[in-house]
Amino acid sequence: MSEPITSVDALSAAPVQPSSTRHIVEFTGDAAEFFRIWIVNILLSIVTLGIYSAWAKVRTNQYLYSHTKIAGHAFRYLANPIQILKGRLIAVAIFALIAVLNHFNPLVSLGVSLLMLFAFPWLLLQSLRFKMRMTSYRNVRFGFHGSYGGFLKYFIGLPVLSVFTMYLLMPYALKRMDEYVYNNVSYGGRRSTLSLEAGTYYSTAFKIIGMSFAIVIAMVIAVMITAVVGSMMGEIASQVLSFIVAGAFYIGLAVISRAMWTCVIRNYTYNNLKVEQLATFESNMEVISYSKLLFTNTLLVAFTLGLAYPWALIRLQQYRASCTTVLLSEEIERLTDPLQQDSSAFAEEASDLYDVDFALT
Amino acid sequence: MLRIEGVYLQPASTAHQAAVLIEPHAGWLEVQDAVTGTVLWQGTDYHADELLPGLPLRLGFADGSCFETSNTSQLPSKLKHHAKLSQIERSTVLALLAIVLIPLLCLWTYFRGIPALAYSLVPHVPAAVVASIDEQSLFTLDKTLLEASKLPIAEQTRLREQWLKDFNQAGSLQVPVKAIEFRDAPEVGANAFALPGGTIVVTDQIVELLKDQPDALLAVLLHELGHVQYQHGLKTIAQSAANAVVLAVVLGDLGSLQEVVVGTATTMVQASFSRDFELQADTFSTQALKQLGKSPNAFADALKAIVKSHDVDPNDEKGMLKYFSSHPAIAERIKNASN
Repeated sequence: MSEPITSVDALSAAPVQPSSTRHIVEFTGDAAEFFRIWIVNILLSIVTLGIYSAWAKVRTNQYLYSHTKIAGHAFRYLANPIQILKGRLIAVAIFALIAVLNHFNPLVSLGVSLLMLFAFPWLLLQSLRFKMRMTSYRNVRFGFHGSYGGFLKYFIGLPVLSVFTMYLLMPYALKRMDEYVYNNVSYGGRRSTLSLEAGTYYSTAFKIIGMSFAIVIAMVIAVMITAVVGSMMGEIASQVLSFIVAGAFYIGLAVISRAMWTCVIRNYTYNNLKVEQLATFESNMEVISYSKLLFTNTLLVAFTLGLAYPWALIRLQQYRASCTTVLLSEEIERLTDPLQQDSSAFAEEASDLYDVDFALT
Repeated sequence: MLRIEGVYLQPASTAHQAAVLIEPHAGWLEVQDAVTGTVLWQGTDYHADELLPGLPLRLGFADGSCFETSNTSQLPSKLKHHAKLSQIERSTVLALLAIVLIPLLCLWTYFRGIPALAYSLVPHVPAAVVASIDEQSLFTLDKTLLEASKLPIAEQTRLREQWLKDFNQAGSLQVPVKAIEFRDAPEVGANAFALPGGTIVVTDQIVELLKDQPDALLAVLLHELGHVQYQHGLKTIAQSAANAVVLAVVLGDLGSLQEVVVGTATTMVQASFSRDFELQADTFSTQALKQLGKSPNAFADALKAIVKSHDVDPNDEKGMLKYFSSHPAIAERIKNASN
């Protein structure tokens, strides 16, 4: 699983981290075991009118985090169900209020849309802060340091601006979003850094657009052929066959474009991501195998009416983990988080409203 | 005495050491270094992560340190009850039972639970809100499907006064009729509908269609009065809002909020009543006709005439769907009304 880099080449290539050790991320979750946890939690959530769903979320996350391991050490999900419940109750209260106001005056939904535009960066910030703070590895927590202004600029400003450039700015906007998020993550008080070029984002976007055109043309031809062939078997058979063919193409298109984007961008991002003196990353996801996985997962979940969801999720986690390598320096053995050790300051920061999960990410 | 081997992780640090957890007396825990026996932590103030099948036991201490062990066969006395949930989640029988129970519970909640909850809220809706709903709905309908009535004002007034007189004679009204409005509706055709706040809208087309059958027209109005009396409109809105809120609880995320809100706005305008509501209003209409000393068959006559005007076969469910998307089969309603 892990092998020390000892050669002279490695030393000269990576002078910053002379004694890194390679670790492929492991995922050890078991689908049958997870299925029982998942289904029992759904039942309990329904019986308790949704209240238990907060506990269900913590248990599900704990299962997934604890089975994700680097160098034999598992991640840990620290959130308390009450924090999740608080977030959900606030969301439901706001929602009920809007639903009522909306019946009073339909114009309210217009105001809500506008308000959501400005609330969205705040919600995104809060949920990322919460998610990072509630994640630990080897008893040291992650953190997130973004600001409302930053999210407003990169997650609302740039995309809105890109509309006026006929979306030509969009790949650049997506690059800046990824950079913004990863440059504000910390582990044990150490920031991760990410610097990217927009070129990869543009070439990937154009490849996906080109491929979509090709698939749509292929779909039209295939549907026409099926219609002709099917018409010999009668009108209904022809309609059903065409529907199946069109549906398969549609799912295929959705899956392949998503797989292309995820694979290329994730590989590119991870390969450039580093935590100074501590860690670098490698990702080698493949479009074909990831597409196959997404396609079979979609069919699996659809044909079992959702029952196969745990299997699909475990397969996905296994694949993602197996494609991810972390190079850890020796410093991991003696890392301490100064802020987290100062427990009074830590508790003070955690006691405000930020300690509520809004679950947007 | 409890004695579990595991790992002690120092506060906010990746440093860790082999350790043993012991419980010298109930509730009091001690973590000792596995080699030297030095006490690393002791006390009663600890928090355990949720216990899950296949996962290690993790205890977090107030100073940020923690103890981890994959041996979960024995637990500190305070955590014994924690393990119950984890046992439930291991059960295959319960998992199979859940597969059957979950769809049944969802169906029951959707068809019985949520409507009951929603209807109980209807009496608490403020009158101002109710009035505003009608104004907004009529405004939207006027902008989209309806045009100003082409009936002479005198004729409108005559019909309105006649019907209001009949309404009062039919019995004491629990919910007042707010207004009776006439509209030209070439796209909708012969129809009448009740808005949630008690406004009844009558199309020129239905007045024209039933101009020789005043009792049939009255029967249609009485049917709409039934919707108003039972507050079917408010109940439908409350139900769709309750559905949306429950959906928000289940999904538990704000992302879908906007979508659902826009959704409820459209359902309000297009609101079509459920099968039960239509049958209830049908019964109300025939009862009221009897009260007024008219033939209860008048309502069946009206239905027949409306169906004929829309040029569909009353026995053809598919064709009927075009005009009465959620109405019970017209043939059945005509039969009910003819009894």
